[in-house]
Amino acid sequence: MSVKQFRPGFDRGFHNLTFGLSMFVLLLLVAILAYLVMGSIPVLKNQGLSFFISSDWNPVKDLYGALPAIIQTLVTAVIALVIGVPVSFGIAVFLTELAPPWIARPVGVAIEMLAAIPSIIYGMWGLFVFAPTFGVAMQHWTMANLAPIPVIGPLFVSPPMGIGIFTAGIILAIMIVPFITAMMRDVFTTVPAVLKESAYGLGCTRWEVVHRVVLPYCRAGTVGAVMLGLGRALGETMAVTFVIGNSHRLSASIMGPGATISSSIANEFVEADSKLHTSALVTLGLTLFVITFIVLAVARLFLLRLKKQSGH
Amino acid sequence: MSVQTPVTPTTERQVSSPYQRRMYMRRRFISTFHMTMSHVVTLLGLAVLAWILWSLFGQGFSALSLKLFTEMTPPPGSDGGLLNAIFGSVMMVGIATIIGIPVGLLVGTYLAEYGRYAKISAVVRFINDILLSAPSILIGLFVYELVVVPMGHFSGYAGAIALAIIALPVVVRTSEDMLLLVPDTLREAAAALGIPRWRVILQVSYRAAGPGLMTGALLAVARISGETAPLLFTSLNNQFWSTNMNQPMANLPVVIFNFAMSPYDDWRSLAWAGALLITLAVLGLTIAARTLLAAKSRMKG
Amino acid sequence: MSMFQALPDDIVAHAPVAEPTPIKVSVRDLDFYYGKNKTLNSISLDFHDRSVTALIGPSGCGKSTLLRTLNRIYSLYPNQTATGQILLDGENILAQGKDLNNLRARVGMVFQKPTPFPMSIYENIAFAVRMYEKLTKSEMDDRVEWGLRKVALWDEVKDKLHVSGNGLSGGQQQRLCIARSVVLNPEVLLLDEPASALDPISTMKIEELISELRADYTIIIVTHNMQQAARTSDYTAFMYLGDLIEISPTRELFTNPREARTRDYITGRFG
Repeated sequence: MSVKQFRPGFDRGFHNLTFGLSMFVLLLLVAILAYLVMGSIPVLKNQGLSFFISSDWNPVKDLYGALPAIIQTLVTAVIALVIGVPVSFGIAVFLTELAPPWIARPVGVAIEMLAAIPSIIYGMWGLFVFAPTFGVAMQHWTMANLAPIPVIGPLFVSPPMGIGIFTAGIILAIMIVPFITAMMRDVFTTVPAVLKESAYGLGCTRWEVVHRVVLPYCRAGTVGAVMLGLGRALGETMAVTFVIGNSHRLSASIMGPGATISSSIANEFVEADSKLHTSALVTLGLTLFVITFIVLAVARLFLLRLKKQSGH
Repeated sequence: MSVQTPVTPTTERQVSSPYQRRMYMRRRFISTFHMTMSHVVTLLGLAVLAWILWSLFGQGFSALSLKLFTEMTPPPGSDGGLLNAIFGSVMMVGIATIIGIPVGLLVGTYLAEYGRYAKISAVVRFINDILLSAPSILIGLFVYELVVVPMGHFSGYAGAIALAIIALPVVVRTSEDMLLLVPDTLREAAAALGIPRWRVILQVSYRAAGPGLMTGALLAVARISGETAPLLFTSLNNQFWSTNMNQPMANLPVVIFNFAMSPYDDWRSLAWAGALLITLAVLGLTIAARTLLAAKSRMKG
Repeated sequence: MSMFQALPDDIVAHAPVAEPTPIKVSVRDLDFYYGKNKTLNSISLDFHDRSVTALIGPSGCGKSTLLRTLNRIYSLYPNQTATGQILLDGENILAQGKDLNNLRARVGMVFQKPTPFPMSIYENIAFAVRMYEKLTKSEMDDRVEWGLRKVALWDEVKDKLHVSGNGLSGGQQQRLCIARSVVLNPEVLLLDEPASALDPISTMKIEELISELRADYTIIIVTHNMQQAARTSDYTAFMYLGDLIEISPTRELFTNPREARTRDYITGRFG
């Protein structure tokens, strides 16, 4: 019998190749960060921290204030979460606690399919279908009913164009619902049946089982899912750019047009001809990176805890 | 066996007092309310999603014609097709796949095999997860600086590189997960025959995880097929037929974006047609990936 | 050759003497289906108030299924159905529109695996009480203490009431779950192999607890352990392949079974 000799060099080589490429992944993130930081230097040198607190964004005068874009990025994401999370939660509860399997399965598959649809489709639909019908009707209604209210009235003032910050928030909500729902459903199905049975066995109502047993059991996973949804809403470009109206003005109204960080970059980057303008957009990108990094890191830490918890 | 008749109730318990009955009605009401809301939001969600698909298919199908696949993107006000954009998208997604999938697979291999217990792997996993959900427009900015600026012009290559960077973390994640599903006993059995690690990985782990790895690859392709933001300042757009990857290149997502934002009806209807094509492609890939995985788990029993 | 011809005398001698008490739960012609699969065939039997009835039989005989009909926990699953009658104090709990939450407050259940809820020890009990009664803080404290004393857990946990119930040992968790049922003052207590996942000492504690609780509740226990049935129960029902073969006072069933199949089972000839 001939013994085939293996050259140990191959194994070393393969090991080193996979290790090297793993380091490349780390390097990639570092490089992205380094590029964003370097690109931010010109505008920060020129304007200092007033970049972050000024609300005047004026490429003609080469003056850049990021406050409106930052605030409106947060506002659209918050609107998306306020609408999207309860809806996702409701659908996830329906899928895991209420629906018989012959309904839960197809609805679950549909949700996963919709989570895969590219965001540009949502944006386009928002612009052509949602804004001219529902968006306009909504703005007419708020102008007539909410705008006259003192103190909070100005929040709801807008021309009835259908597009604007609130519309963008709704489109974002529609986009993240399938995403969050799919994750919540997966987390909820990890609750052992016997735990739920013993809660029902005490006479708990369905809501009490969901509220007092399922949710506490899935706390880490649910928070993780919401945070990942938030990360998506903050960084989303196409679904927002179509419907937000692209106006760099800080107005009190959440119904009127605005601009988020990503929509500003998408709209202006190619046409930016001054060095400062490009740098200002890169700095916006850096800001977005920092915000989403924090949100995503928190999300991952929660999900990691979930993994450990289910591990033992 | 003897069976006696049951006796009448002797004790009064739980829901006896009016107070307890009220409290109980309240609990029932709260639960019914929440469960009703759960049904309502599900219906609402499904209605909105049906609305989206209805408009997409309605508008998209009425704009579908053979011309889409035979003619170039037209100038404003005249009709035409999407041939150059479809070609560009296929090229860019193809090249991104060729770069992104092997690299992702090898990184996944490190995480699941050589470096499974290494401390650095936890860091790589974490960073990969961050990349996985990082805003794609930032990848666009990065590649602009990395490729477009040194080259001096937009190009199909730049677009492909941006898409590869987006595909990479998806593949890393799924390949690691799928390789971890391969039972260790299989690896041990192969190693016990004296087969070196790299051959165990290539011939045992990869083969056992085959359908799963394929699924990951398909999901990554689905993900980058619809990406728009990173292409806006990498490949840009090109109104004409171009097979030169070194030049600005048309692609479906950016054409859809530009045409949809335009005031011309012809362009808008082309945008709908393009949106439908992309959606069908993405859904097709996703269904293929799911079917593959389902077939695999059936095989396992 | 079987391990033993019959259970040793001294074990059966410890079985509580059954005194006739009124009938609490009465099952009549109960059929049970998983989808189209019939798993209980026309079961009829009675459970007496303030006594312990053990359900024994080989795996798959339907003893757990029978238990799960008594608080209708099976109704959580749309493909499971039961027909016939189960009378609790004369009222048919299988009737359409029966209020299940109240039923389950009257008929408590403890499962094979301990199921502490993801909250503190205190909250595990207080949560259950709060659904039915409005108590002040000190009344609630008293109730929690009462429940934990009832299951002999108080001394072990009184200093850590506000830590998670998941930190307790398996036996402690199981007693916590029994306490959680008991504080609701149920009339019937269903125990589904409550000790099968526990070590011998914890098992002994649970058995002692069952003997004490017997004074207040109608207890029905599913067990695969014949000695446990003999030690703890007043009545024993032997089931086989979805049929009730016989139900008798425990001493009688183990010493002088009426049916050949019962004898074969308790002497270890099959099962």
